[in-house]
Amino acid sequence: MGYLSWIIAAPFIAALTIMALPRRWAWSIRLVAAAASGITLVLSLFVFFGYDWRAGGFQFVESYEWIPALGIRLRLGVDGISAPMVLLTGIVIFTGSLISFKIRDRTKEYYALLLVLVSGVFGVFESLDVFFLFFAYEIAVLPMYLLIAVWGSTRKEYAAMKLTVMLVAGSVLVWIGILALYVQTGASQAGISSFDIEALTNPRVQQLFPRTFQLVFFPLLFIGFGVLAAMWPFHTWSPDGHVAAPTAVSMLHAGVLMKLGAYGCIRLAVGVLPEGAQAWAPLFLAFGAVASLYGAFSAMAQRDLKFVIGYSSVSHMGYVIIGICTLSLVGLSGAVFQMFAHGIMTALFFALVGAIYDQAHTREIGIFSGLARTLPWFVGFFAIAGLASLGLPGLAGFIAELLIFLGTFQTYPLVGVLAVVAVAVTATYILRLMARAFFGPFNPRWSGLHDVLPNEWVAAAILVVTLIAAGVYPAPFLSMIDSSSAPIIERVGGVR
Amino acid sequence: MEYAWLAPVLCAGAFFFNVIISRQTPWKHRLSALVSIAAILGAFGVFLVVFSDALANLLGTAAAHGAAAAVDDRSRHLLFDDEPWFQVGRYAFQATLVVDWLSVMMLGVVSFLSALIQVYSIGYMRGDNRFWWFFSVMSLFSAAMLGLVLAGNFLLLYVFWELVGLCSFLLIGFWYQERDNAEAAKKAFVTTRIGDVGLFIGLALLFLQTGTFQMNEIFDAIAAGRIEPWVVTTAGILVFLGAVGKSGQFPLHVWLPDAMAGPTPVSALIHSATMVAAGVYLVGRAFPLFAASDVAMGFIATIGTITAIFAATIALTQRDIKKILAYSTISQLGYMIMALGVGAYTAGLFHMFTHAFFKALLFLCAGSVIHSMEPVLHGTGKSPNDVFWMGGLRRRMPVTFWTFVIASVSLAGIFPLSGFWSKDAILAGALAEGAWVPFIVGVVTAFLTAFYMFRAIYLTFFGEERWRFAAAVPPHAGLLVVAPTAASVPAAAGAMDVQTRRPGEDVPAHLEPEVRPALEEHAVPGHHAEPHESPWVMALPLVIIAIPAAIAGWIGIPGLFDPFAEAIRFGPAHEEALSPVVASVSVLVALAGIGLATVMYWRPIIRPDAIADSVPGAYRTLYNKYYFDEAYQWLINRVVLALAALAATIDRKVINNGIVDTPAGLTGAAGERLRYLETGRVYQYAFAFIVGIVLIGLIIVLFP
Repeated sequence: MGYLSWIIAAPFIAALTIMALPRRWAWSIRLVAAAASGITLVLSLFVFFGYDWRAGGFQFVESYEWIPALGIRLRLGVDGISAPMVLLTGIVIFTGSLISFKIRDRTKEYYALLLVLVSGVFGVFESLDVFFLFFAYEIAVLPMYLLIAVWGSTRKEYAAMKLTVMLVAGSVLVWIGILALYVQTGASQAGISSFDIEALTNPRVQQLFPRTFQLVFFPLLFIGFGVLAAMWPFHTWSPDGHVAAPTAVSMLHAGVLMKLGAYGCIRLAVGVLPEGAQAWAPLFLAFGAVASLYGAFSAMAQRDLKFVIGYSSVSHMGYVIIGICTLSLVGLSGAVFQMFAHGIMTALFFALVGAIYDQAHTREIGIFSGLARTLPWFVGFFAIAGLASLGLPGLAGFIAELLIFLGTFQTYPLVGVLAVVAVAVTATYILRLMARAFFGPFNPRWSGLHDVLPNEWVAAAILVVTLIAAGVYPAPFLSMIDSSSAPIIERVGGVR
Repeated sequence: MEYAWLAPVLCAGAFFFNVIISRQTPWKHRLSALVSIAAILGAFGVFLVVFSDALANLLGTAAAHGAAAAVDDRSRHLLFDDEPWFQVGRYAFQATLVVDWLSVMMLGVVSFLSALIQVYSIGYMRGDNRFWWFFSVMSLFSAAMLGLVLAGNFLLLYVFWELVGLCSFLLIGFWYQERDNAEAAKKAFVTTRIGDVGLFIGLALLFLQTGTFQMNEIFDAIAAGRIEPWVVTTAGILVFLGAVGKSGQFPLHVWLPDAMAGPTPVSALIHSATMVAAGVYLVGRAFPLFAASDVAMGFIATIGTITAIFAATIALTQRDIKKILAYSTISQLGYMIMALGVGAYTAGLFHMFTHAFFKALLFLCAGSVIHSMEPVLHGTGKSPNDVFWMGGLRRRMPVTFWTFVIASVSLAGIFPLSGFWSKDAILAGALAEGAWVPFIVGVVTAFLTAFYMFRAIYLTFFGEERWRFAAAVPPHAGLLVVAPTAASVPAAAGAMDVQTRRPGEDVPAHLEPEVRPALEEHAVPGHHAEPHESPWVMALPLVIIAIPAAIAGWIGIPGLFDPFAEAIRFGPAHEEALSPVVASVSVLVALAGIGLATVMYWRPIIRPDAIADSVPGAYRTLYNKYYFDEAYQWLINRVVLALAALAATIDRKVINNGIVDTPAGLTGAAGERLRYLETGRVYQYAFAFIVGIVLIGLIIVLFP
């Protein structure tokens, strides 16, 4: 077993271990979870820094027989797009485990589900086999229902049900698309049906997908995955889901799960069906553009901190959709980098909101005031997340948005203008929120609140350092992403 | 010279050192001030080294090639250092460091003023419980500005540009406990961000055309005509919008007066060497872009001209000493932009250079006055910034008084002080370019400038000691047109309607005691402290800055000694002698302005309230700054927030409840109904079974 299979296995083994531990040993459970996710983080760092972007392609490849009769293998590997996603997942699950220490209700089941979910997420990012990808995708989505419905808050049953139904509906579309690909490859002279991603993008196999086939099945795959990426207008599960979910689940959810959707759009929809992408991209680009502005304006009108961030995620994922649909190298690379940047910043946001909600039992922006005086660390970390969100240079979000905008200007200049305007709107709502809740006269009602706890501090510091490092020196990320976006754009015939 | 990058890096290092290390130590306040000041002095040292290298280079070039050398603008880069930053596809993004005379000049101005302002802040910020944070952010601010002036790549420039904006946000909102200060900080950031939308789109346009953000490559492409003219014009105007936001040009000027909410040293820095200077600097730096388009140049000149006179008229009626100076800054920035727009490149940047010193000095003097008025007016509900409650301070604060006068005379443009030379250069430049409207507006503005500055001087330093009876007038006395006197106070206190224009307005914001604990010491009930000169740590920087405020302009004396025009110019140098007509006109109008202020505010021959009463509408419009804030507030409330509410409502009501929940509800309802088909009664199932068979049979028979 190599790095990649251990990354998937470690959380899963930890989940099994936790199930075997007695319920009373809450701290052992927490430590096992933290240790396992820490190991995963270290392994994902190895993978990220071990990836040789000059060589490109899939690396760390592992291959095991699974269901040979159907041509299904367990193949793992990462390329320049999935390696940053693996790192992102590693960072978010480690920080998420740290800030989950305060979960007291059914700690055992909570951690077990969380870790199983993460195994699924890693499985999606690392899989080179569409069947396994889908399998892992479902593993990642379903524990979410229980995590929200049991440990959540604020209309949690409604949110959990809506989220699950919408995501399952999305995966039905995806499943149809995947089966179509499988059957179509089998229709060739060679007659070998394949679930292998590398094979599907092979030029000879690509010839098996005629234009009509692509036109029909591209939207199924793109919308199916797009639902999970909170693509407008299939996004409504996301603000409700984020709000209802417990803190670490919100972090994983907004930070990583939404990226699964975007990843699927890139890997399977655009990557495998280039002609479909050419035809359909303008429509989905328009969806992305609407999302970016509409999400930003909606966020401005929210009164609940988590709803602000939830809509902000819709807006930021709108940029990702725009970037993908420009079908330009710069735009696509920007979209992937934005997936990373947004994952980190939104995890930071939710970690901090959780820290305050657990004490104040409210998230109303209007009734907080002057928190900066008593909670300097909290406000400092939150401000950094906010600044990353409004695209301040020096933080990761800036580079990502820069590239997406440049890609958009290359292809659809007017959409580019709208997207840049959306950033100004973002600045407005983020600063309004901060001015309202953190500045102004101190409200003595909140004098009982304490600043971030040590475990939360460590988690937030890791996320902040990542944001700064990726923002100041994005070259390692971009070279890597670039090496794997280029073949996709080449197949699509987009702007290089 | 290769070490120019050390200047911003030192300051940025000071920021990180303070934030990570200093704050953990028990003496965090002292340590962070020490580290910050050491860093900025180091940056000044870097400037000195770079400057002497540059000087040697200039003299060497002049000797070798004669005066006609170095016509080509790019060959005048003294240093060009190009480091790869990141790469996507075929596009490389570089971190480029450029040293030329423009950046050398800015390096000097920024590090010199920033250093003295930080020393001054030791006195001004004494006792603040976030003293260490103030110095940390000041370091970051200096770092961002120093980085900005050294950037040779538009993307890199944009990075520092935004960081400068961030630091202003943090410093304007430094006393964030006061709701207004937090709002002012937000306003500054959001307003400048609106300009930055233009800047970003403009830069993106240039990038699309050239595939790079490198300034020299873009300018080459423009010079070679490789970019279509309409693109150059559009990009030029869009890039200029960034400068409109940053340099407080009309109509994005609204944030700058509110930015007075920050501590006064911050105002001094923002209004002289950083932030607002960044916009003018950008126009100077990207001048080849603008110069290639007459439309863009015309646009710039128009905005500058409007701003210059528009802000000067507002400054006439303001009562807050910092607001007078703030509108003065806007007006002077308009002057610079106007000069650049008409093509007087050297003159515009020369004015930025001289203005930085006297405006920084004016703000520091104002800070010194406010610092001494705070304990005096504490508890009266009067703002320590209000010139109507000052008066007679010249004997009590001689250093502040004399330095303030030097700076004001210089700003008013009286021969032979600094401001005269740069103002004259602008007027002469406008005339030489045949730009009559800017010239006339420039002359009128010079008159207004002299008037409002001396109005401020008379009200602050001359006349009665009005602060003595500040306590006698209720705090919400409303809008006073004329400063109260001993004779008018009983009337003002008793019959409010005589003096009051709009009751309930202009409530002075006094500083929260918790923020300034020092105030409490002085606020003995029944006894008020008297104004006194500030401590040496504040007074000394005033004296030091007064020197360049008075004489910095002497390096730009046309026809006699003009190294400035030799070093910082666009295109070939042209020798111009001082025009006696322009010079005498500008001095005469300035003297007229001073004279008018004298007869209105020192020897009241003309009563200001009589003028205000004769044109009440005009007076109120000026006092309320042409109602721009109100108009924008309306726009935000009625348009932006309405859009936000609309989007949020659509999302919940239409998309969520309609498109998502309705099918879900229908499915649920269908299930609710259909479940009654499961009755569990065998005869019903059998009946349905038979009906089914009959139906299928019929279909087979009827549709064979």
